[in-house]
Amino acid sequence: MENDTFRTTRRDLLRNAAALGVALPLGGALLAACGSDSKSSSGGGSVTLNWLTWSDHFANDQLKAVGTKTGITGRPKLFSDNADAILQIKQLGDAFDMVSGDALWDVKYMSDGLIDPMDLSTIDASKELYSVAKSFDFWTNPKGYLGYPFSWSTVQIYYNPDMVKTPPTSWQSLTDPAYKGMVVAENIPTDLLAIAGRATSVKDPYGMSGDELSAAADFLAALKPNLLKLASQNNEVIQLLANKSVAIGVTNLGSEDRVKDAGGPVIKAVYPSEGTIGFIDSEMIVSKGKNKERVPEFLDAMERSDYIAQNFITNGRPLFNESAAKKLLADSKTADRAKRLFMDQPEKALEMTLKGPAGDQQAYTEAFNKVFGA
Amino acid sequence: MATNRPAAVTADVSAGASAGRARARWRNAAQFAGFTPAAVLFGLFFLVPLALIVVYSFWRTKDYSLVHDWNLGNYRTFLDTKTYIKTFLKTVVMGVLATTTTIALAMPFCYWLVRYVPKRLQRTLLLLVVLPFWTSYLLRVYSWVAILGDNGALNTILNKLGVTSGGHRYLLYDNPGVYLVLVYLYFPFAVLTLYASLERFDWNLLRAARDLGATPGRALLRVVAPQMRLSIATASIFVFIPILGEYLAPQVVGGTKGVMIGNLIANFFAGFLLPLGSAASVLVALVIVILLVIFRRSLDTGDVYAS
Repeated sequence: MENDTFRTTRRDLLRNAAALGVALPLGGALLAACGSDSKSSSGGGSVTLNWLTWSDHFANDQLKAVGTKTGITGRPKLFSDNADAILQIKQLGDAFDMVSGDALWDVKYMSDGLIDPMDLSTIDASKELYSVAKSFDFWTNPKGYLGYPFSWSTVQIYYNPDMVKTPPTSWQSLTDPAYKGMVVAENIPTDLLAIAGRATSVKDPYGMSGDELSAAADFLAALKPNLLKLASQNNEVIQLLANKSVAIGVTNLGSEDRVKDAGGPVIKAVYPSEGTIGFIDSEMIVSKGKNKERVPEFLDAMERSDYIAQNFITNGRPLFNESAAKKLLADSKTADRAKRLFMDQPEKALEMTLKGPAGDQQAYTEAFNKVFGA
Repeated sequence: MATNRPAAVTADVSAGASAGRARARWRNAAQFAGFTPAAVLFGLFFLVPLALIVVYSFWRTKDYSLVHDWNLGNYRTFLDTKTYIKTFLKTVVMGVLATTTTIALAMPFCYWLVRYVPKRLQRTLLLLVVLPFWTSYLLRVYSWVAILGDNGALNTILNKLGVTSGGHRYLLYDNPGVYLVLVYLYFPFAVLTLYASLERFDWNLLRAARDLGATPGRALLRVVAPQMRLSIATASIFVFIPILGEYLAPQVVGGTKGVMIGNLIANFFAGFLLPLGSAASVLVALVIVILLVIFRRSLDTGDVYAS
């Protein structure tokens, strides 16, 4: 009887299977439709901006408030590093309206025709920016400014004084066998080789080739036994320092506060004697973006000083919003942190080697993989 | 006789035959309708991406752009670089070790489950084995950091028992950690495959072998093992092949010592070296195909029962 109840003829089976075959692509199309914008407009109305960015460029509350106020909903998609982002923009350009990028990467985006420069004067929030941030040479183009300046940071060494007898002083000192398995850095091949370039006194750490690149790879090979792991995200570096799995981290400004906020120990910063690399990042308008005309309006709402001050408190590295800096410095709870992390000294951002694409990306990635393979 | 039929009748017969052929063709085509969803999914999400990877592997990149310059350079680069070959071989060895261990653990577990556990309890225990599938893969891998880490569960227990004091890390950020996590991750796949086979096994054959004088070990080896060949081969494939492509487990628990080929491929892709990453992926796929060809005989069910 049970068999009768559930008996299915071959015809039923085929009919249902065929229906499923039709329904699957239709369902997929329906989901795709639900995921895309209701409008692709250049003015007014609700719209969704697809934004390829880092997790510290926004807060969910901020996106919600901006969406309510302007009708523009920012939909962030995260990426790991600049090479990953440029790849996605090249492959799926019209899927994004905005992309975040570091310093000289913006120039690469521009030369590859992937972004539209912007007129900062049309974005009211830009009045809150430091003037130095509005006149970086590398972002100045006859057609406009390549990106909306956001934040900056050097990459330096942080160490836990309770776990390290002799504090590191330079990149070279990190290869000391005394630090075996005690160091963590982010898994960004190009930037790690650039740091190795600084360690080996190369003039242009992003333009190495031949002997310079070999020497940099040798430095990484010497550092490898000391590296416990290459973290996939900066948060992981903070976590490993906070739970004392490592004693030394190669990370951004403000990490001492983030480690403390994560319940970790007091860590100290060291600015390497050979100098360092760092980022100045920005938001760019993707030239193929369906809703790119709405990006300036979105930025105008997102980049206001209240949001930027909150972003500083959460993520602890300097930003280019002068009004936010004034608010942070005026508040006794945040003044010390803002001063210590150069929120009032944006010109310091120009003292480091700026992050950018490698001159020969294949040579960099291969050199890195040869060191970190088995 | 047919030659005496009127023309109209002949035409009717001809039309009827033609309609019959059309119906037969439709029936034949309809027989494959059930394959449509699988064909769409398989084609769109497996064959097309695979074809793209193969095509990319013959191109090259220059200044963050793809150059459609057909050549074998990427394969040459991969095969000429000792580190890549060494990493690949290490991945294969890790896969073999983890697969062997997984099956060695799953086999006695399934045997015990089928032979000594009441039927209704078997389902419950099987449910417990697949319970980890209810949580995300990422979470399952990260949970090992919480277990084996400096301030992890294992260290806390050992501290409380007075065996150790302070923060200690166990197996983490090294090859043994990757091995342990891989065995944990793929154990359920082996169990489900082996259980399905053992559950249907006719245990009278084993009893008959024992009655005829075989020792327990010999009976298992000569009676059970041959009939388990198919499921052991299937379980090996289910476990070994995904391990060859593992990226997350070595990334999270492997540290700089536990790198596998998947991590290098991820670096190639992240560094915009799509062609070189594709060539490495094709070579991994090629090894898998070769293994499947070797396993093909084991997958021939006819052989199992014929022998």
